Amino acid sequence: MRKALGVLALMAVALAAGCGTKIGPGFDDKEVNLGLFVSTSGEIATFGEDTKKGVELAIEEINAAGGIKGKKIKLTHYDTASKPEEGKAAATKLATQDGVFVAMGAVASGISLAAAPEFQKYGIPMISPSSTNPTVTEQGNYIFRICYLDDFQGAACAVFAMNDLKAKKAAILQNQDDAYSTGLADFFEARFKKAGGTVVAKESYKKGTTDFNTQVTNIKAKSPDVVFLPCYYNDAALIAQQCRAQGLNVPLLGGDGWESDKLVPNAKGALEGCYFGNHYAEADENARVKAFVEAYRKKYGNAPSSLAALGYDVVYVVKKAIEDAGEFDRAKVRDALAKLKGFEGVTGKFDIDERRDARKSISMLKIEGEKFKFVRQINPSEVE
Amino acid sequence: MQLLLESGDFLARLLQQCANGVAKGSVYALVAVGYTMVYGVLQLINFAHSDVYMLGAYFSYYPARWLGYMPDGAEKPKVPLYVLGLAFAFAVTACACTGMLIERLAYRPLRNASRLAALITAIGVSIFLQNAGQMVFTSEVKSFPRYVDQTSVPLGPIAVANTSLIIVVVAALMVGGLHLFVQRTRTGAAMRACSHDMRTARLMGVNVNATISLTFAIGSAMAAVGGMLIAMDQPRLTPTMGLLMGLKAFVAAVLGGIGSIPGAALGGLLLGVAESVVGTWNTTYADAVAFVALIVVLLVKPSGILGKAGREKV
Amino acid sequence: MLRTAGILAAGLAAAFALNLLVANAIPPYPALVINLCGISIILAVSLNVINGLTGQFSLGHAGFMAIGAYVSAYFTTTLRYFDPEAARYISQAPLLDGLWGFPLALMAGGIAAAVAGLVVGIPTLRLKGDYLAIATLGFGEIVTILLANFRQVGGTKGLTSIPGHADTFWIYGAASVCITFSLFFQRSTFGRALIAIRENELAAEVMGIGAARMKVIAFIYGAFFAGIAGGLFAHLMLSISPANFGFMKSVEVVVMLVLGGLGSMTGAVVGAVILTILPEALRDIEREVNLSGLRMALYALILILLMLFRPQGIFGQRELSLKLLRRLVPGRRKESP
Repeated sequence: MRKALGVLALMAVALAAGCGTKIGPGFDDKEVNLGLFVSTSGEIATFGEDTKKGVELAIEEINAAGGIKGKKIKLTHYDTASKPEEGKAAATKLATQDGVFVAMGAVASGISLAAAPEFQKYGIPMISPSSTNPTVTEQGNYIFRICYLDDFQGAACAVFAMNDLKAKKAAILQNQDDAYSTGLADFFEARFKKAGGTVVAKESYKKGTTDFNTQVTNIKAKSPDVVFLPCYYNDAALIAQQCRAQGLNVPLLGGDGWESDKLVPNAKGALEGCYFGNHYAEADENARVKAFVEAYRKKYGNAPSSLAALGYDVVYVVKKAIEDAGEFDRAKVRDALAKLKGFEGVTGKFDIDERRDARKSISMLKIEGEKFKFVRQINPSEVE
Repeated sequence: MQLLLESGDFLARLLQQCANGVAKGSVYALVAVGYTMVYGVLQLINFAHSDVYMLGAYFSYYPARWLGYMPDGAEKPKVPLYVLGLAFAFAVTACACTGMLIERLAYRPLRNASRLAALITAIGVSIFLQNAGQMVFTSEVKSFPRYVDQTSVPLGPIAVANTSLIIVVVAALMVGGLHLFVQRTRTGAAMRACSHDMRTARLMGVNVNATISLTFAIGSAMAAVGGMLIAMDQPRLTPTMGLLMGLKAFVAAVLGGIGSIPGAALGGLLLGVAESVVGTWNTTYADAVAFVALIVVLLVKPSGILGKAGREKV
Repeated sequence: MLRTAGILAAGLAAAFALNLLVANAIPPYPALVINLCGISIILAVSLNVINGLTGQFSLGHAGFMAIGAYVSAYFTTTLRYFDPEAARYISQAPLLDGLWGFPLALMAGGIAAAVAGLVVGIPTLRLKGDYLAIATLGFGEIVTILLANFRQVGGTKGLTSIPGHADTFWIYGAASVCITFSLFFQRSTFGRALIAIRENELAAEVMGIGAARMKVIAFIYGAFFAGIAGGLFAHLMLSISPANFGFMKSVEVVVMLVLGGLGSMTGAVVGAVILTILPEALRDIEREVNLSGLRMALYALILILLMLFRPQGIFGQRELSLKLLRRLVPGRRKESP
């Protein structure tokens, strides 16, 4: 027993040997080291992979164009295996051993929350591309995000359902294991009720579910005017097909998780005439978006999802912040991030507000054939 | 009158939920059969079984893709019947081989070790297959070829997808056929003998290794069919798609009495129907209720519904 | 008894020393891995009392861990939850403040988990083998489903901004207490009774051992320390959500146990340490080879190979200290049994 503890102590010493205690500067003459931590294995690997592809594309472009202030970007990525303890370990390793200059990640809020205190502690700016839980950026003044918050997006969808789709009765089908899904569902429900509508059904499913017939039957029995599906494209495509198979033909409505070129083919036509909110609309003919979509398609063979787009933007946000700061100094980069205004990314034009969250408008799109038709833009001021 | 109308609606809804549950339960049953067969012979919870199910879905996806029926992005062409047959044959064969290979490499060396050692290698194989699957297939969500056009079939007051009907019919045929095979044929008798007492079976001239290999092959083939059927009905392939299905099917196998093939079928159907019917009132807690029901059933019938009560040798 | 007290004192002193070392000399990343090892040790050793000593196959350890994590964090954390009527987040001050609130909160978590162990154990421990495994698995799933739908503790989002009280001293202090008690357990009449139940329940009953009661007590004991481990986990990770305590977490603990050698406390410790360090040690490979999934595939392969080469686990059912002492110092007198 004492031996066992002795062995542990020895092991600790062995681990300690050869490791420096000082946090590296994160850059040298030629390179700046950026850290990325997303789940590229485990149950949410799809989303981490998409994000990583977007990040790698942006880095490739920036390096080809000469890097950030003359320094090439070096990316250090650790997998978080869809587990918060691995997220915390990855963050600690990025911060203290690799000494990254700025960290990017994670997708799931649970993992961002586990990692954020580490980066905050060492004064390394962390930017999450897609963690929507409001508490993520409350972990400290070095923690930022560039995606929507649940409250804005959920409320925007509710406003759209009410005013544009003229819906009085809404049903919600949420993934009860996913904070993004339940967050959107909660704020949609609250806002929809506040505007005088009724939520006739609020059904849930477990993550990994592929058979939604039970929930669809319940929703159909309440004959809603619209069904809100706060989920990712893979679930949305399946749910839509099962709704249609049971003869539930009302419009379906979703958030930015729907964005993917897989959405329409996977749904096999079941999503025709449905709506979702997104960061950008391809129909906008925004040159920046078009170039991004083309470059992504060329590199990976398919169109980017919203997660890939957010991953792409997060690198450019880092570049912009370093350029605004004027030098490679983490505190100054942090200040530059906090003051970021009118950043034009592929996920729209946005400001960073006083809560260190992105403030941007949402584009509501209608699915018509293979295309997403732009319907209208909802600004943050409209739902507040 | 109003009340009557509502109760009529409710009945229709309940009926619809039962139909949903039967479709869901049929797939549970198909996958549960694999768990139960391996358990019957080796007393091993074959954790990797749900990942063989995942492989089955992927293996039935690739033939269509190789033959050009799965172009990315564009509208998918209808796949001719011979490709479906090809995909089916390929998935079943490849999964059966995978199953036998797993048994040969990871379980057979541990046959005389404690059951838990084999359980851990089974968990290891499961994690390995998921991650190797991710390396080979990538984590990108894959859709499925249009082997069958999904349409809604009206059955009186309810409507079901034709793919769900296919699932129920195929599952019933496969499980029924397997039951007959195990009960009526000589090979089946050898399987039952191995499950009863492996040593005595060997003394009686049964080739135990071959029989166990066959058990894995059949179980894996059933999982492949399950994977293919579910991918037709719910086209979404990911390397981790086996996780939830494995959990449910495993629970179904135990519920029915692990080791018994009719038990696995019954357990699967019961679990599917219970989830759907409870879901009529509340889908949030449907799974929790299903698990409570499971625990209660086990307390009343400690070795599952159709399981043989364990006799204790004194 | 004196000996147990001695071991405990030594363990606590070692925890104190390790804490000093971690705080002053060890860089944060290995320090975090050391802390995670400590939590895994508590989980594995406590499960060993249920699975290893008593031979009851439980797959619900993560459920008890979740209860401990949530209850202890409930006491120390400013609660923040969504109120659907007001459509905003509500904040509520922590019930226990300050550093000494932490051990109290930990105890509360442990006790809550123990109570759950009692409630679950009494009916389900009548089941045997894999049927018990399924029933406990069901319990674990029920816990996460309930937590995910309980708004007061954040629902799916879970609890955040948990104070970081769990340092190396607390973690290894708790590990020492857990190991000492478990060893004491193992060597006491009670432990012998548990082993008798494992070997042959019927024979044990014939010998006058109240198997049902013994099993429930072992279950409660294991659940209590799983709850403590959960509390430490919460105050180390600083945020928890129901997804952290899924079915695979329970499986992970069982793997640690069997890898180390089911029934051996030393084995549980070693298994926990190896399986916590392994995925971290493989990170550098992943950094060099950019292939997603490779790290966990390697992890699985190593696990399979370890099991194939040592099916009885690294330690079998033996313990490290006695055997090693005897082997290293042949002249030394045999320790009293």
